[in-house]
Amino acid sequence: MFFQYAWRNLWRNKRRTLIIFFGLAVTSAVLIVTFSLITGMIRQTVRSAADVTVGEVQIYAKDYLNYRSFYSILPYKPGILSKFESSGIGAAARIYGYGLAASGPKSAGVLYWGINPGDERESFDLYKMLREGDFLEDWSSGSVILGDKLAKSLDVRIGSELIAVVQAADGSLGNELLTVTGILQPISEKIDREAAILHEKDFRELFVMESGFHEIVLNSRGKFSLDKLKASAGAVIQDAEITTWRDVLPGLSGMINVLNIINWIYGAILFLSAGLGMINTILMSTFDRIKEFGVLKALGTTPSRLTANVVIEALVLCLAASLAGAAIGIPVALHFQENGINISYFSSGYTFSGLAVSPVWKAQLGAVQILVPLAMMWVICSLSALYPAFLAARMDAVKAMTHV
Amino acid sequence: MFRFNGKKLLVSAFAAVAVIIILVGPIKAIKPEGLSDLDPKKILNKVDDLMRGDSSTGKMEMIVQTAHWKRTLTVQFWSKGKDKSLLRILSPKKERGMSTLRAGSEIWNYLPKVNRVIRVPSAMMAASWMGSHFTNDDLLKNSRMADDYEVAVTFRGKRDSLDIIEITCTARPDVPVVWGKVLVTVTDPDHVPVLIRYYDEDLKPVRTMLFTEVGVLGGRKVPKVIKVIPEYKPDEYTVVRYHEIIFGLPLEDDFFSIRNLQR
Repeated sequence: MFFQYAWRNLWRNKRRTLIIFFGLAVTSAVLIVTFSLITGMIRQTVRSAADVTVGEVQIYAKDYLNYRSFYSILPYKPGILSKFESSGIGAAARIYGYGLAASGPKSAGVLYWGINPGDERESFDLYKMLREGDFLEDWSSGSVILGDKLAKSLDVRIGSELIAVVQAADGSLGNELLTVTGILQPISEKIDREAAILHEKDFRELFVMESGFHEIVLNSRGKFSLDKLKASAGAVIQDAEITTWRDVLPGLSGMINVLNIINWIYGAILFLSAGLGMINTILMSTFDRIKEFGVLKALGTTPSRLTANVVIEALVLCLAASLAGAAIGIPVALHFQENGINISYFSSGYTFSGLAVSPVWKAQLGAVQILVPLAMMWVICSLSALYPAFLAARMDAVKAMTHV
Repeated sequence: MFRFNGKKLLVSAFAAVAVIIILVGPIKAIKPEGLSDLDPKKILNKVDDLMRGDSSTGKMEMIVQTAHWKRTLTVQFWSKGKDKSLLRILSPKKERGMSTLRAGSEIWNYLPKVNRVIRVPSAMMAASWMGSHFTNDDLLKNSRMADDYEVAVTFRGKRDSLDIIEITCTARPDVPVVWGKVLVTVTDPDHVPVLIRYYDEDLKPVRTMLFTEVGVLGGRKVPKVIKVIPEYKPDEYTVVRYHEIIFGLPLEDDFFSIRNLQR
């Protein structure tokens, strides 16, 4: 009965009710879409980092991160990666070493990577990030994949010869002729400028490195939390340093925290403005019905009942508007989740905290992105109705009935 | 009975001061023995040109000890003037034939295994040469202490039973040099280097070069052994031992060419 009464009262002034209804509906829709887009941007950026190379959790020998010494290695035990994979956690092991790469008259300092292409394909998306050429074969072949800017600075193409010169593990000067078989898209500043990726076997031969790895990276593609992954890593490998992407990319982590805060502030501002509109509507409605409230009070309606009437009116309006807003916002957010917004019209590409991000900005819609904006609106609307409800409840019945 | 006479006291005081000035003044005016007759720039030029002449050639052995390995290389070298040098590794077998050419301000390496020549980029000048504690920049040796630093003799006398002269070289603000300060110690009066200590821009010691086993090579009195010890890794070192040097041999400019590098 309360709801029927509230609904009937709302339509006593159709124009006023419709104005605030559309305002709230549009606000809800905009917030659902905005939350989805910002959540999508955050997710895309994190996944860009984690899924391509960084992983969600990284394992190093103690002290490796302090000095990046070539000799600080994790002893490799056969089958260690399969312990992670059996739990649904992707894993890859890598080795790194600095050296020189030369092509013709041009040369540059590079960071050589030694990877297992099969493990990388299963757990990471690096193999999808080629601008030109092919990813490494599963066998040693003298091939090398270069970062985008490195390839440009060395002026190489697919099929170009590259001379690798390094300080090998035994102190000798390692050198090999390699063939460029792939050039990466922009990924991150560091990879773009200095990454030269080899098959693990080619790396070991070049650097005279018999065994061990510098890094084991884990990636569950968002399936497990970082804490769970860290715990899994600690259970399998003891006496090692275990980090997360937040530790190795502190700038990105900080930016994402800021983005989350911005999301909330933006939502609060939008709903504050919606709430002010709601206060105005309910207040006007209350003033219009002063005599009616006077009669109701004279007939014995309690102040609490009157308060409830006013608040329920606001909530009914809010509920209807939020359903309408969701009906508009959800399909729009789904469209952006599927197709994204192509910002390459404005820029050929952009980086976020040093990481290259896809120019197609995709939303991520979930229960949180729908329910949080709606819940915020319900709270704001309820609070907005309190003042008019309070006024109605405090009215003197006689004065109200004789109000002009 | 004592009577205070102010006039006499004042005269006495003036007389005392005059005596002090007369006695002390000349002592302070005397300069430390022998520093005034030293030309630090001349000494430093001699040190910089120690192993150079108009031209030189020779053989040396280089032992590199690090925390993880120890290696010995035998190297043949040629140099002409201040900006041309060629080094060729004779042993061990893995590196035999590897060569480094310095021509002007550029450094090139020849790698016989892949039969290619590569240029060492300027970004790698601070990198180690052949795994030693010498850098590519040491090979380039673009700077001359006498020209690029403010120099002054800061000590002359006996140290560890050796008569030495110590010269402090401080980086000039307008000259781009690698070191913030260089301390050069040479024997007195031969001016053969004993020790050179290098400091970074924060004046923290970075490495020390010790010169020992002074003898005659190629008709010159030179230290036959040079040892480089990095401050940050005192257990590591590089020792260069000269076995033979010939100065003043005829060497054409085109000897220091990329074509010759590959021979």
